[in-house]
Amino acid sequence: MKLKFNGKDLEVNNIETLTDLVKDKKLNPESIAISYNNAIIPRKDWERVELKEHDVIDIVMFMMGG
Amino acid sequence: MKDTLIIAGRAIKNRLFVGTGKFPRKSIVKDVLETIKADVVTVSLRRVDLDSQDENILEFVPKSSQLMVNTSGARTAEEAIRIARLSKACGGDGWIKIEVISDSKYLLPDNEETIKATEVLAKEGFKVFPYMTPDLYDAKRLVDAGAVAVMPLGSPIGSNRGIKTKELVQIIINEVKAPIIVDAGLGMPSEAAECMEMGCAAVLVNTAIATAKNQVLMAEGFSEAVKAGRKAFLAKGNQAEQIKAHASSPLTGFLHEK
Repeated sequence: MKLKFNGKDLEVNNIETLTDLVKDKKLNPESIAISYNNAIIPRKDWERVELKEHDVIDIVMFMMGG
Repeated sequence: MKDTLIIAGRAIKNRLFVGTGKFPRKSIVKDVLETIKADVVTVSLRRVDLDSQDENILEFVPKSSQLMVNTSGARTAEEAIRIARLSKACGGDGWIKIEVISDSKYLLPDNEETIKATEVLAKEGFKVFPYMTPDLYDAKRLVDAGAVAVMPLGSPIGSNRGIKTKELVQIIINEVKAPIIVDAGLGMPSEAAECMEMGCAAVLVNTAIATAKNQVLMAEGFSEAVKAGRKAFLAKGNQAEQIKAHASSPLTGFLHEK
């Protein structure tokens, strides 16, 4: 399945939900936020979001900054 | 003397707010924040980089510090609002520094977009700290829109040029009923002291500390200068400037007098 992930094309396999994607990319769920097709999805709902071809996903985290 | 700044219900002892950008290593950020007991610390929000498993900046920020998330990267109110909402989903508790910039040469904030974003986010319960180009009317509009403080720039971000906007910031301090925090451009502790002497509630410093040879020492310098400037502000009363000299010692009883 092809996704638009953080502005780039990303090919993923055996991924069904946002939770799967976070696990697959070895991201710490506690330190990220997810925007899915422009909607911010709370952590508790990641499991319920089933990914489809060409979904647009942004995952962000806190970084150094002034 | 007890002198605690209270913003959005939080007591702030150290009036030096610290930005965490541009430090050569995150471990130094931790040393700086712990050494000066920073109360308010800014971070940004960015897309994760899957190729470099970046460490979470929050591991380097003391739990006792208040996190303030900036909306850097936002060019419009809409983008700033989206970043603010994402920051909450990311675990932030709603303290947000609105930074809306579309001018890439001087990085000057767009007050109009900043006011729009402040209005929306304050209504959603965010504690909004707008970074602004100093202007009395816009500062008042920001407070009316729900800002808990106003953050005029001293000089362009990262320029280390000090408080070039002094006259305009002084007017805002005099006329606007909200804490005024000079953010951006302060290069030396003496400039931070100057802001505090003028009556600023706090200052926010990043580049001058992060790019110093000894970051911890520079942060201590800034922290002490902020305290010194604050004390002078509280102590000064109406000490007017004079063109002519006025002797401090008695003008009688000289040894040469006959």
